[in-house]
Amino acid sequence: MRTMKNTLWLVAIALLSLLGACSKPDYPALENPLAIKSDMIAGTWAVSKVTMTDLEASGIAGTPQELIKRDITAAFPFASQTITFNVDGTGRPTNYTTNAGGAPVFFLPTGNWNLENPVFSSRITLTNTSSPRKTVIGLQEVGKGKLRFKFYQFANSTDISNLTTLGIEGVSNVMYEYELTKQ
Amino acid sequence: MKKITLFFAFSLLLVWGSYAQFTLTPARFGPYEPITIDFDATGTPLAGETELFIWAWCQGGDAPSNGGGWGNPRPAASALTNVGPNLWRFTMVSARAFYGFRPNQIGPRINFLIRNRAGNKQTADVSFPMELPVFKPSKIALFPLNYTQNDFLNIAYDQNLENIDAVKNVTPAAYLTATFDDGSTSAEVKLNLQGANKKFNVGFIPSRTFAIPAGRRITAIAINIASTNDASISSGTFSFNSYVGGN
Repeated sequence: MRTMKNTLWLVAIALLSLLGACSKPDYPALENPLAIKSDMIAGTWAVSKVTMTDLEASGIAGTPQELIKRDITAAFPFASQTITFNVDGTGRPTNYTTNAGGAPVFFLPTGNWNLENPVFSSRITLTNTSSPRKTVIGLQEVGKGKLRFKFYQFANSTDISNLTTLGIEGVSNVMYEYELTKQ
Repeated sequence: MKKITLFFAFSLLLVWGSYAQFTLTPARFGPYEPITIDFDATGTPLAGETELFIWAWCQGGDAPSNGGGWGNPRPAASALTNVGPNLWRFTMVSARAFYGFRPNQIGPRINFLIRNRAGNKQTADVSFPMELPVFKPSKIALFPLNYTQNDFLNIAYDQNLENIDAVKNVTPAAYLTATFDDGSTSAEVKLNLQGANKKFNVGFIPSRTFAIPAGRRITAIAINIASTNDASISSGTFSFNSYVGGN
């Protein structure tokens, strides 16, 4: 009887594992660190969509959706904007450039990029030695020629050094979300 | 039954006793207004202490002033001011600023306790209600509410809510003037509004729209919604402050 029970458990676990494998999404949600390597990011990406979320308004009950989140892609020629992430001969992140294409660039337009972690990462940092700013990009989706990320805008006076991701979102005013297509 | 009644009565007395040490001014507050907390340490474990600190949390999590944890708070951000024998005061610019969370993340109550520096003496947890803001429709709405001069901004104008007769049927435009951090102002910029059914919008980026003098930054934008043919036929001028920000 005990052996029978154990066998049933093993079958259940195996079925659950198969179920998990079958439901694996095409594009992993990257809120949690996943196996992202720099070669998945490297290359030139064309901006296909830009949305903006007013985080403050989102915290006020009854605010209409159009005052919380707006698709601003059509407001400027974002379709002409590209971002190029370069790597060195060993595949490590080096610099990046932006071709504004007549549209605004809401992050550091040029500088160096790096993955937060070379193997398991959910964030890219953009830095430029000539600027005290640092853009921390949260990766939301990478794969099959698509890249989706977000970053937050907050007051320069805000100290985010001790804050978690939720905390950073809490003190931020605006969230920008980008969707890009590999060139 | 009598024991149970006595137990509840005693519990209520304890709770009332701990809350009685605190006076919040104003007694009713929202997330965006200053709050003064007065604490009377008389008869509490903190009586006679020479330094006191607030330890605060809300629905969204710990206030930033809690720093790295109970053993490593941020004294500069959490110290109470002594205002008399066993009388202490702490002022929050606002719950929004102090707790560092947006109103819906703060939730309907703010929570805190008072402690000494070592953290081996403290009050009971106390919790006070906060009035959560509710959106009120207005004829002019800015998106986003808080902006830097490099952000995208959208002005929405709902002529259906217009209260000035002369403007109710005109074709509207937005006349904008920026104020810089030295107090000077920009030349007026006119933007046409697009829309239908008396609901209009225009999007722009302040740093691209105004000629910003070298070394200066925009601190506020005044928006006058008026007839596209005559700026004096006006719905009124509304000013929105910007902040210095990055990402």
